Amino acid sequence: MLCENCNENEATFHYTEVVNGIMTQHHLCSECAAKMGLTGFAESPSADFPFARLLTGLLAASNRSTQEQDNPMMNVKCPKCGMKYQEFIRIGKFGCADCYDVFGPLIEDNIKKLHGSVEHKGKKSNKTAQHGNDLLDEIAVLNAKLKEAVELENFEDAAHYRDEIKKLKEGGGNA
Amino acid sequence: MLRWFETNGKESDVVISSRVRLARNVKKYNFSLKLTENDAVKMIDELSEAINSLDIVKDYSSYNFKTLDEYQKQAMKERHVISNFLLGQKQAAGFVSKDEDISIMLNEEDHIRIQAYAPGMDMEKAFELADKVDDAIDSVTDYAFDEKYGYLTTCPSNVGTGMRASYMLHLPALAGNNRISGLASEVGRFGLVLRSVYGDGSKNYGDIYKLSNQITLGVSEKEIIDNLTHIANQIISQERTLRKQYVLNKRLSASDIAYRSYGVLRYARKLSLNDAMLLLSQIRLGLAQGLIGTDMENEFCVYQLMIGVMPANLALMNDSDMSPEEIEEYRAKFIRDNLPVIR
Repeated sequence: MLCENCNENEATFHYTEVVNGIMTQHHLCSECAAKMGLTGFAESPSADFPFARLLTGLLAASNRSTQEQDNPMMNVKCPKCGMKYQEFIRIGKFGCADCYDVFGPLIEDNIKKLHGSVEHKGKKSNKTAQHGNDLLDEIAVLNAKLKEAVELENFEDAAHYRDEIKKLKEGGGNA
Repeated sequence: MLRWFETNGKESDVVISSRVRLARNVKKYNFSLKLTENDAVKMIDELSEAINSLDIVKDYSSYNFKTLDEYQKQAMKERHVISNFLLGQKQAAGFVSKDEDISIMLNEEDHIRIQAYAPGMDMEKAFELADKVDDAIDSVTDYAFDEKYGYLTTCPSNVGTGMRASYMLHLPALAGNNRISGLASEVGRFGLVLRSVYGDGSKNYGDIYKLSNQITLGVSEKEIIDNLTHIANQIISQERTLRKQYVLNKRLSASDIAYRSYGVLRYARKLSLNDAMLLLSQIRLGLAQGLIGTDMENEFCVYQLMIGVMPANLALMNDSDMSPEEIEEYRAKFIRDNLPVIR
C-alpha cells in the first residue's frame, strides 16, 4: 500500500483517527508521518487541526476506489489557479475562490461529514448582502414602476426606468 | 493601559483569555497555496494601503516582515500577536492595536486573519472587536464570499464563518488528575478541540490549554460562541471541584508546593523554560485558591510572566545573542525582578 500523502513510498505508519465520531484510517510512509508530526505523538507546528487531516483522509479513501479506472474527475482542473483534482484531494486545500465552484460539488458529501452542513449560516459580507438583497429589491421596485409607466403610456418615464434597471444589473455583475 | 495578558478578567482563576479569529480572503488573488511571491507582495501592499485608510486602525502600529529580524518576529509570536503560520511566511505584514489585543495579519494561510483577545472569559467582547475590524475591512476590499459556502478559505476546515473562537484555560487540577485526554475526546463529540498550548501531546508546560471550535460551516457566530462557552463552563466547574477537594483534603501539601515554588522562583540563579512554566503554574494556582497572596491591590496576573520568560521575549529585552545558559540566567533574573512579594 502506498502512502496516502506522497503516493510514492510504501505506507508503514497506520493509524486510526476518530473525530466527531467519524473513524478514518490513515496510511502514511514514515517520512510523511514525521512531517505531519504524528510519530511519538509530537505535535509539529504545521500539524493542522485533526479536521484538516480528516478531510484528506476521507478524500484519499474515496479516491483510492476510483484511482484505478480512467476517472474523468482526474482531469478536472481549476481554470483560475491551475489546481488539479489529484492535487486537491492530496492536500485537501483550495487554491483560489473559484476552486469552490470547481471542486465544491465533488466534495460536498465530505464537507458535510466534517461540518455537518454545507450551507453557510452566519455573518454575510456587506457587499454580498447588498447585492443579494438591496439590489434585487431596488430592481423589483423599478420594474414595478416601469410596468406602471407603460400601462399609463408614460413612455418617457418608462425609458428612464428601463435605463436605470439596466445600469443596476450591469453594476451588480461587475462589482 | 494594560495588555490583555497583564490583567485578569472574568473567571480568571481558570480562564486566561478569550480569543476570536476570522479568516478572510479577497476575490482578486489566488489563495496562499497558489499565490506567487510577486502576487503576495502586491496583495500585501494593496491590502495594507486599503486598511491604512480606515479610521479603526488610526492608533494601530503596522509592521512588514521586510524590516523585522527573527527575534522580533519570534517575540511577536510568543506574545500571540502573530501566528505560527505567519512566522513561517517570507512575505507578510500586518497591523496591531496599541495594547496588542487586536491583530490583523496579511498573507497568512488566508489573505487576511483578524484576531482579537479579551482577558478572562469574555468571548462576546473578543468577537465584537474582531467583528468591527472585519466590517471596516469589508468596506474597502472585495472578500471572497459565497452565498452557499460563506467566507471562502484555503482550508475547508475554516469555510463558512471563517471563525475560530478559543478559550485559554489554566487546568492544573484536571491535568494533575490525568483527566485531560479523556476530556479532549469528550469535547470532540461537541465539535470542539482541547489541546495544550505549550508542549506537545505527551508533555505540557504550565498546564495551559486551548479549547476551540472546529465546526465553522452551518453554524452562526453566536452559536459557535454559545456552544464553546457552554462546554468551557463545564470544564471550569470540573477544574474548580478538583481544586477545592485538593485544597480541602491536602491543604498543607498544597500551600507547601505553592510556597516552595515561590522560593525557587525568588532565589534561583538560572531557570529552564520548563521549570519556569511549571513553577509559575503553581503560583497561579496558589494565588487563585488563596493559598498564597500578594500585597498588590489588584490580583496579580501570572500569565504575563509566562509570556515574559519565553526565549525571544527575553532576548528582545536583553541581548539577542545570548547562549542557552545566559538565557536561563536572564530568565531567573527577569522573574526575580517582576514577581511580586508573596506573603
